[in-house]
Amino acid sequence: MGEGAKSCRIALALVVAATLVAGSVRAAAPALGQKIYVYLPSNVRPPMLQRVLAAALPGAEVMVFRHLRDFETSVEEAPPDFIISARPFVDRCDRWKPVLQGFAAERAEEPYVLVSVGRAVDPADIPDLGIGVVDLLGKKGMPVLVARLLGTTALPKLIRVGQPEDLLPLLELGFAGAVLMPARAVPSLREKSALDLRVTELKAASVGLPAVGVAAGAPVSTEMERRLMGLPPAVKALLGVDDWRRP
Amino acid sequence: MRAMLGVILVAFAAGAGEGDASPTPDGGHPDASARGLVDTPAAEGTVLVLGPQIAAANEVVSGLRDELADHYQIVERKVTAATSVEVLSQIIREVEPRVLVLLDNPTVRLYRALQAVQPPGTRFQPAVVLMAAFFEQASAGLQNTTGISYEVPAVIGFVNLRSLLGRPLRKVGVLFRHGFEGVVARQGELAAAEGFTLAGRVLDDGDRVKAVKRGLRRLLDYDHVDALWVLNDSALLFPELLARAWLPVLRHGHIPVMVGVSSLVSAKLAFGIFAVLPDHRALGRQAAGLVDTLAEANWVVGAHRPLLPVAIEKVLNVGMARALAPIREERLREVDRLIEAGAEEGQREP
Repeated sequence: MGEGAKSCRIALALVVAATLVAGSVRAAAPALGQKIYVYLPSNVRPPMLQRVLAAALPGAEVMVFRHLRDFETSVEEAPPDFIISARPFVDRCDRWKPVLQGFAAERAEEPYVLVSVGRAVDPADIPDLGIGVVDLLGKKGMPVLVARLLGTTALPKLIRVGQPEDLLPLLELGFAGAVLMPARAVPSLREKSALDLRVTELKAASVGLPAVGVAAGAPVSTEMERRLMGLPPAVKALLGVDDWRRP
Repeated sequence: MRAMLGVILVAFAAGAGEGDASPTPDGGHPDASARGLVDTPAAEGTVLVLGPQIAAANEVVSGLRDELADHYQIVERKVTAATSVEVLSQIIREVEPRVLVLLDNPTVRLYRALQAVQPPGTRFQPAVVLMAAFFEQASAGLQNTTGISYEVPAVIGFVNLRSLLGRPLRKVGVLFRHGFEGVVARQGELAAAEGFTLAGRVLDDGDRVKAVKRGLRRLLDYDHVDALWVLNDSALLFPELLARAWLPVLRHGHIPVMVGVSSLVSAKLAFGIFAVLPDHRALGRQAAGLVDTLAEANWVVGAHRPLLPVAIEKVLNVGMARALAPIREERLREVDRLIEAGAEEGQREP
């Protein structure tokens, strides 16, 4: 960590303090020695998320990835004990099975909406729109997922970006006719931008919230599951969930 | 002070320090082994990446691989300002690429020289230009060439700076030389959509130090700008000019200064408080999308306009920012690198 990153240290200290208050992490917790790989595109920079998780899960080796390809390669070549990623990613991999499902507002999925500038999206225009979306599944997987969310049979023209904050420039620069994003993220987008943002709700467009996966056939680590479930709310919020539950 | 500025501004010396790329005695390219062929599927052909061997270029290539390696063979060859047209020509003949990716201005100049000596009517492979300062000027006249500008659109930086600071940010000033009117006008149009007014002042002719000082004072005293955006124009940012013109005026300006080079956000320099830089890996992925688009267009650039980079990395001098205005602490976790006064700088978050 850079010596200048005082604010990150403060944030980390606050999270750790909250953790200790909540009693979820004990200073003398035994080292678990288990590896957890995380790929959860968010505006929080991966190094900070990694520090927070490492502090909240002492003894575990936590790696938070910024790039999907690096995550996929590492999961393949040096498999961890756990992965934490969007549910569609966990479901895509036969070798991994979800052991914990993230919930937010009592739901395991979250609705996605289209956001555009000036006017709402006419469904008839969708095939011709460039649609910006945060990349959860890569070049092959995302068009299929987005087509399902949009309720179209044709694969849409996508502009995939690596993190949610990159969606706004797609609209500002006119590179995308609309962006597809979780409905819960719209208020912060509106807070940040002065564009005339319009929301188009989509029928049955929901994406599974983050899940914790283990290698199929691996022994169940109830201890790690317990620790993940016991993470303090501030840490869970950074992962985009309120709670973890067994599926 | 100027010596320190010189060190800080090393980042402007694009292409400097790169090794020679003269042909080896056997006629081969000296870096062919160091950056040789990668055994990847080549069903769609070969993408030849030409440019310097620096970290940023490697990141761009990683981004290209992220998206293209399943279908293309990615071949890298190091070229520099010292590489001859003959060597470049030989590389292209050997690799027989479907598309060229040209990284940085010296590489673009070299490729321009190669195009210039070809007979009329020559059909060139499509080329994608990346990491070249002021893309439109750099690539003007090149045939079958497109690319992505290296400069991050100012509006992206303005929006991020506004979201960090607890003070109004509506009017942003910029100083520029003659010839940059189009660049500034285009950036002003993009920024207007987000509610910003871009106040541009063209530099007077004559003594550069006096011109910069006059221009800055006009922006501060007459235009009453809320912030300043500094173009990545090396003719405006050499150490002597920083020391004698920019810093003396801005020391009393009390406005945030946004720059496009991380070295200008320095705890020691007290110049820029915020830098927005292209995310090079994302730039490579964006370029991969351009390659896909070219493939769909049968490898003809046609009317494809150059793109602008979308993904950025952010550097914030937290100490200077706090001295100017309250900052929104929760937004700091969205910044890639935080620098505080008195701390060692140049530290990047791991």
